[in-house]
Amino acid sequence: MKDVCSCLEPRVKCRTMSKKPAAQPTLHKVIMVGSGGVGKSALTLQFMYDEFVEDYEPTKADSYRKKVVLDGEEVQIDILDTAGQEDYAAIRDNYFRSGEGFLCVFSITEPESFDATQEFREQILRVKNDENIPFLLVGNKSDLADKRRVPLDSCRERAQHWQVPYVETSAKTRDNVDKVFFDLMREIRSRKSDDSRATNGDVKGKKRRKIKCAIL
Amino acid sequence: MDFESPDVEKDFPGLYASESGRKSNESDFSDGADHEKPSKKDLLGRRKEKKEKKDRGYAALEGESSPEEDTDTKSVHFINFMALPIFGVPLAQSVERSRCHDDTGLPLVVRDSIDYLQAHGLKSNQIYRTEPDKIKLQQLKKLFTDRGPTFPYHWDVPVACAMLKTFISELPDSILTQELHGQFEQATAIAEPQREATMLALIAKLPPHNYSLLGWLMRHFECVVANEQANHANIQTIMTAMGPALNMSLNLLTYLVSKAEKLFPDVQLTKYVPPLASIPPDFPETAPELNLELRKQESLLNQIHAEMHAGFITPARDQQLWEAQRIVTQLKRKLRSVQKSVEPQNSLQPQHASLDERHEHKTEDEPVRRNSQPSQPSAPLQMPVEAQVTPQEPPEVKTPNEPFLDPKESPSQEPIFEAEFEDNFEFKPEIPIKETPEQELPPAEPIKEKPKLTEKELKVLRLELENAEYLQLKSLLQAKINSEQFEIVKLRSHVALKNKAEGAQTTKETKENNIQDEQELRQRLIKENALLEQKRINLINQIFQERVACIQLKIELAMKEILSKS
Repeated sequence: MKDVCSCLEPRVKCRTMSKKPAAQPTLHKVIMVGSGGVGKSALTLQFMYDEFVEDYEPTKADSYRKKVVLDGEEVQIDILDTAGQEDYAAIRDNYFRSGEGFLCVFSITEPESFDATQEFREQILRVKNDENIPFLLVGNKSDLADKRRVPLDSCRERAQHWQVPYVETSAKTRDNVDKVFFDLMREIRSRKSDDSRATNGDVKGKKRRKIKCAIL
Repeated sequence: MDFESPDVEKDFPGLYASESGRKSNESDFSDGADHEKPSKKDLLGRRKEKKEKKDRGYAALEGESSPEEDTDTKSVHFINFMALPIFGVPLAQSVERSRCHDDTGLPLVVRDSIDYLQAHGLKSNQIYRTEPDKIKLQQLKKLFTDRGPTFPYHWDVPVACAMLKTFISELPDSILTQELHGQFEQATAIAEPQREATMLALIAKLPPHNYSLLGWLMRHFECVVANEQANHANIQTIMTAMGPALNMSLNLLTYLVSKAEKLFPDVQLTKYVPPLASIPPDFPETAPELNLELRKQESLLNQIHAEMHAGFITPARDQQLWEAQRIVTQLKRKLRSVQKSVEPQNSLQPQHASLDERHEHKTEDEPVRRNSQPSQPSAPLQMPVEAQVTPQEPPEVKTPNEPFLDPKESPSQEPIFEAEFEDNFEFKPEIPIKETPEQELPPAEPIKEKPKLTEKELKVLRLELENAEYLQLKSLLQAKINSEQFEIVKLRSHVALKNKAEGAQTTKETKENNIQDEQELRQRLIKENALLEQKRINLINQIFQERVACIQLKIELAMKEILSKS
C-alpha cells in the first residue's frame, strides 16, 4: 500500500488533474441572509427537501448541497443558511467571503426585517467589495397577504435602487421557492462567465503591456 | 536558473495573485474551477488593501483591485494565507490551532506521532534510537504546519520519534511549566510515601494541555519500556533521545514513567479517529454515535472559524469550512430524526433545543412567530428525509484515479473531503491483514459452509464489504487529491514569486545568451519527462490492479471470518 501513496505524490499529478476540469459539475455557492425569523431556513428546507417547518428554531449556521439541472446543465448548489441574529455575526462573515450569490430575505409582514435588508446589503458589499454581486431581494411569507405590512411598492423601489431583482415567495406554499434559487444561480453563472472573459482579456492586456516594457 | 531557497515557500506560502497564477488557475482545480475566480479576486483585493489599511478587520481586506495597482514588489503581503505556526508556539496555542477533535486536548502532531509509535514502533529497535531522515522529517513537519494530510509513507519510527522531540523542544515553555518545573525536580528527592502524593499534587496543578501532553508521553514511554525485550529501549535510551527536549532529569523521567499508570490514571492511549470527511451511508444511526461525531465536527468547525478570524484564509480552507458545516448540518438532521423516532411525539425534549432542530415536533401547540396556520398537509414529514435525499444525489463524481468505484456505492453523500484530518489510520486495518493472514488465503477454496446464510445473503454481504472497502479507498484518494490541490497552490505561489524575481532581474541581458542552451535543455527535459510520465502511468495502473486484488483478498478474508463465526 505504501507504494500507492508515494506514486501519487502531489507534484506528479498536478498535470493530470489540470486536464480534467469538468470532473465535477459546476458548483454555485448561495448564501441566505436576513433578519431572524423571516424564513431563510424555511425557504432552504423547502427547496432542499420539500418540507415546511412550522416551529421556529434559530439557526446558527447550516449548509446543504443539492444537484439540480439548471437550463439543461447539471450543476451543484451549495446553500449556506446563516443566522439572522447578530450573535453569530462573526461566523457569518467567514462565509460571506466565499459566497457567490446572496438571497436577502425579509418578511412582508415585518417592516423591521425589511429595514434590516439595507444593512445586510451593505455588509455583503463591504465583504465582497462588488456592487454587481449576484443578489436577490426576497420578500417571504407571501401567503400571509392579509398581514402584509411592507408595501409592494417599497420593495420594488428598493430593489430598483439596488438594481437587483425582487421576488416574493412563500416557503409554506412553495410559491416561487425554486424560482429564487434558480434565478440566483443563473445570475451567478452569467457573472462567472463574464468574469472569466474579463480575466482573460485582462491577462492579454497585461501581457501586451509587459512585452512593450521589455523591448524598451 | 536560481531557484528560491526552500524557506521562501515557508514565508510566502500564499497563492500569489500574479497574472501567471491567474492564468493557469483557470484550468486547474478539477472541482474548484468555478469558485476559483472570485477567490482570486479576493486575493488581489486583499493584497492591495493590506498595503493601504493594515489594521482594519479582515472583512476590510476583501475586494478587487485593478491589475495596474498590482505593481508592488514582493514584500510580505501574504500573511493572510499563511497557516499559523503550530511549532514553537505556546502549547495552548498549538492545541488551539491544530488539535485532536476528541477532547484529549493534544496537538494533532503529538497524537499522530504517538499513535504511529504505539502501532508500529513498540517492537522496533529503532525507537528513540535511530536518527531520522532529515528531509522526511522536514517534510512531515511542514505538512503539519500546513495542516495537510499525512500518509503512511510520510512516517517511519525514527521520524515519529523525532517529530515528538522537535515539537517538545520547540515549545517555548517547559512541559512542566516554568513555575512547577523546579518543584517537580525537588519532589524526586522526597521519600516514597510522600513522593507520590507530592507528584500527584503537582501534576494536578498543571494546565490541562500540559497535563494531557505529559500524561500521554509518560504512558507512551511506559509502553516503550515495557517492550524492552523487543525494542531494546530502556529509560536510559529514552532519556538520551528525549531528555534535552523534555528538560527533565533522569530521576524525574524515570519516576514519571515508572509510575505513569498511577500518576495519569485517566490517560488512555487510544488511537485517534479524526472527524469523518463524509458521513458514510452506513453510519450508525444511534444518538451516541451521532453525538460523538457531531462534537468532533463542531470542534473542527470552530477551529476553522477561529483560524479564519486569525487570518488563515485560503480557498481550500473556505471549502473546508463549507464542507464541515455541511456535515454538521447532516448530523444534526440525522440526530433529530433518530431522536424523533425514539421519543414519543408529544413529549417536547428541552435537552436538544440547543441543536437547532426546526422541524422536529409537528405538534402544533404553539406555532412560534407568524406561522399560525396548521401545518401543511402536503408537506412530507421529515422522517423519510434520508430516503428523499438519496435519489436526488446523483452518482458520485469519479475522480480520475478511481476507476473502480461503483457509482451506487455512495448514494446519499457528496464527495466531501477534508485533507487535514484524513490520515494514515485508513491504512491500519489493511496493514496487519496484508502481512499475515492474507498469504494463507488464496489456497482456502470457497469453503462449503453449511449454508446458514443463503446464497443471496452471502452475495449481499460480499457486496457490502466491497462497498465499504471502496468507500475507504475513495476517501483516501480524495484526501490525496485535496492535498495535491494544496500543493498546487503552494507550487504556483513559488512559480509566481520566481517569475516576479526573474522579471525584475533578468529581462534584458541574459535573454539572448540563454536562449540556445535553454532550448536544448528544454528539449531534453521534455523527452525525459515524457518517458517518466509513461513509466509513472504504468506504475499507477499496476498499483491499482494490485489494490483491487488486495481488496478482493480482504473481502475474502472478512467473508471467511463471518462464515466461521456464524
